[in-house]
Amino acid sequence: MTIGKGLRSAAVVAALVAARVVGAQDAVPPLVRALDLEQRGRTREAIVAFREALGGRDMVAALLGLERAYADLGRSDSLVSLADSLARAHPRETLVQTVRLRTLLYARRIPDAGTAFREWARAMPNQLVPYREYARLLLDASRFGEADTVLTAGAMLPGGRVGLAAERARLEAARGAWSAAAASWRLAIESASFQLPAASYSLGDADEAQRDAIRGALSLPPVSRPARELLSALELQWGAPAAAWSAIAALPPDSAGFAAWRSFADRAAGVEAWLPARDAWRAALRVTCDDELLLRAADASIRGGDARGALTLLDDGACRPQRAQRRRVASALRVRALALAGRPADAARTLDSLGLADDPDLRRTLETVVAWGWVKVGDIARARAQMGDALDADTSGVRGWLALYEGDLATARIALRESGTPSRDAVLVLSALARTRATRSELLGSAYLALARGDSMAAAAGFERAAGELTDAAPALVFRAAEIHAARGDIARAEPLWRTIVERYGQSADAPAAELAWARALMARGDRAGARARLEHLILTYPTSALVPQARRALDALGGA
Amino acid sequence: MRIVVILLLALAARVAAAQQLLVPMDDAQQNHLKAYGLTFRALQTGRKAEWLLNYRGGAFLLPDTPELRRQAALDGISVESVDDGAVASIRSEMSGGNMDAVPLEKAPRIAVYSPPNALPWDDAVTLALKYAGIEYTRIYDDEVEREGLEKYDWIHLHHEDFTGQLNKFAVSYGLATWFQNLRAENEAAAHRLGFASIPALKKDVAEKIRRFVERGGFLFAMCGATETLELAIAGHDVDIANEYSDGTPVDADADRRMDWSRAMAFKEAKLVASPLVSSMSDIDGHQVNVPARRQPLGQFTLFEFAAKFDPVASMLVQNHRNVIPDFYGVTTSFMKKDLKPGVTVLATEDGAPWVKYIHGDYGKGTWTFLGGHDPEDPQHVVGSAPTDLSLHPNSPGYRLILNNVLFPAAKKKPLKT
Repeated sequence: MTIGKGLRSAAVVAALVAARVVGAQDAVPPLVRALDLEQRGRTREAIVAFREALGGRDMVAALLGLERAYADLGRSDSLVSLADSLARAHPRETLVQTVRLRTLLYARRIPDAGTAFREWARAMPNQLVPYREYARLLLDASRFGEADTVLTAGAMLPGGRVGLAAERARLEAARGAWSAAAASWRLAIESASFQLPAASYSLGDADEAQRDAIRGALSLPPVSRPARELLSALELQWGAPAAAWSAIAALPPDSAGFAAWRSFADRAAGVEAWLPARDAWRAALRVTCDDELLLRAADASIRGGDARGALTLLDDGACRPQRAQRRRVASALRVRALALAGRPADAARTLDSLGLADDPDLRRTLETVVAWGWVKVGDIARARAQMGDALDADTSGVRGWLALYEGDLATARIALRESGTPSRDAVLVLSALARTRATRSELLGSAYLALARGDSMAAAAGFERAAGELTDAAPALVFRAAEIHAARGDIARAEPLWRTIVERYGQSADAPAAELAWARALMARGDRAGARARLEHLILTYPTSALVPQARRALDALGGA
Repeated sequence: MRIVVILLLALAARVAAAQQLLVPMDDAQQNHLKAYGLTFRALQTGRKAEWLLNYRGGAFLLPDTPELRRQAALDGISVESVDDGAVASIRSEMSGGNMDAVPLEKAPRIAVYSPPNALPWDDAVTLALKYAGIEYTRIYDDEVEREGLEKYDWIHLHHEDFTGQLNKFAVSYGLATWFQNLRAENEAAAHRLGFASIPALKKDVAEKIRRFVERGGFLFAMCGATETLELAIAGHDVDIANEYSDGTPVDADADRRMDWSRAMAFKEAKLVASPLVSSMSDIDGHQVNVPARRQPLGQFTLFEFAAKFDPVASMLVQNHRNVIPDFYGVTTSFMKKDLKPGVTVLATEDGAPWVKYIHGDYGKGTWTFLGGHDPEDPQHVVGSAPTDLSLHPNSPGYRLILNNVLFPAAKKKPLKT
């Protein structure tokens, strides 16, 4: 079908070019006239001109034009007798035969289509083309039984099993026989790897329950690079980037493996699967020492949260960047990695050794990175010192965050608000700070600092303690603590906090949110009655809350009110 | 002073006792579909209700109880508290126009005829009942054949093919796993229940449904069940099923031998005998699965009836919209030429040779047929995701289905068995 369309377009272009060439001449070729009429929507006149063109060397283009024109008028069956006679006159012309079959199928003249196919196959003995084209048309028409018969007959011809494997695969996929479909696609792509995207598209539709059968068919020994690449593409499509990488990790480290790894890394990075992307680039580095790959691998490692992995890559002496610009990028990455790895002193030293007098913007960015490194180890004073005078002019929010960690809520409020486009975290902090009139709270500052350091248990406990001190913001802070516990999967600790908010701070804006979160947790652990009670309480108590529609949907999911 | 207080308390008590809940069904209603569920549950718990035909989109008047108020709040149903004075004013307004109040007395016992296993399509009535919170019993061939239908007041049929040809899906889905399972399950059921083939079983089920209506039952059918039920009833003594489904070809003179006097809605329809054409007869005007005959969707208009003289038809068309976008189904519409003379047309498409929504009496019972599959999924195809009704709480198309659920509650006569 695609080939047909391509040829049609080529014919149109060729004809239009021809029209320009003959523009100066008196007689316009009938095909050009027909195409012009067709473009102007004068379909009936175009049909007359296309028919005129059938006798010349533009026969195929004219026939395709007629097929389009008759389809526009809803008279595709008018083409049947014409296609029959042309097909008999040109028994080995693929496009003519395909149009004939397509016309008969659209007219639901199935026995005639079968006869036409057999005539074509007889005219081209031992050729797969008739079988492939007819099977494709039958598949497009969802006539799977007939397609099966045609493919089975075609498979008997020399090279038929492999040559028709893609069509067989489409048939099996349409029947839901995913294991067989995967085996056929494997056969198809092993002989024609350009079919890999088609295979991935076809098998990607399989349900969760069918995927293991596909995995099994594509993983069967011997290891086949195209099959493993297909499996990798599927796993990525199914949202399992780690499994996608595993599928191709064991490919031989040759040029084909290099291409597969590099291609995978690019696609994995595109969906922010940073660590599988890092692993793929690292594997590619073993084949070719390319400093661009090294830098991308290190960057992906940092983005994926593996700062130590990034340092290992950057310290690998076997493949160091040679050009000055790339060495500078590598050093900047090292600063980031050291800061994130909890080694701010080393990061600061590396930054000093870089100099960067000629690039003050990069220097400032890296200063900030190192300052965050000090925050990560809990040393706010060193973070301030690292920022130096730049802190006074900072508009990126660092000043606000540092003030917050020190408990200076008044400064934090102003600096975070003035930090350009605030991050999601900054917005959450600002909304909590808006709930209290307090200007200082070291308890709250230390809770946020614990959160920044990745110590969620200490952070949750800190928010609970801060709630005792900042009573005007208590429900928001208790809710934050509950959120942290819930995010850790510790519902047992979150639940009493939600209960506290609902029972003690029922008039607060956090109460419906706490109740909805509580209900969802109860639903998740199968306590339907408990969840129902919470949802009903929410809807009846806070009827104007923006969360009521969500509560109603959750109630519906429980099986009605 | 004490006497004044007592008098005031007594007065307040009387006012409170006189309060009722008006459930508006015009554009003031936030959730039309759940409003039917609220009314149904009020009846189910022994309370009385009134259906105010043509008043504010077909509003309901319910007793003002804490439980109903609570339920309305939970479901997001708009309700208005009205006292005796307001109710009197409403009744006065209604008496002067084409409006009437119909008492609703008893929640009908509902059965939905539907296969036990999920199929790759959904049933609009089941969706509507579930969403509205209306209780129903799922029945299928085993229950109909072994237990009968006497214990139900109202039966719903959807996409079943009562000719036993499985909607001729074999044409397009013959090799699909779900279709093969469907055929195997139906064949097993036929043999289990003592029938030689699926068509023989379905024909017998159709006959039992016909008798259910004849004896006073309420039947509501949609989609392909409307057409095929009638074909099975009229073709009771004729082989109208293709060879692939029962091993014998369609009777050569099947059209001539059809006994349309037994049917409820249609007459003199012509069968489509070919197994390769996804159509059962010429009853359907849209022929969605026959490319050469497929007609485009338009919109249909609900008729207005005299509420005081024709309350049944009025109940069936209560809506806050009277022009509704059409929707396809295996059977989308009904050709006018095939309708029996006594059939009441409830909705039609202007200028088209077909109608959408019809109703009539049969024996002591009544039937209602609505063409199409899913009012909120006009192009529904096999495998489409089920409609999420929480996104369509004001669907006028789904209201038509729920009108049918409540309409039997207005009938006072018990089911004759």
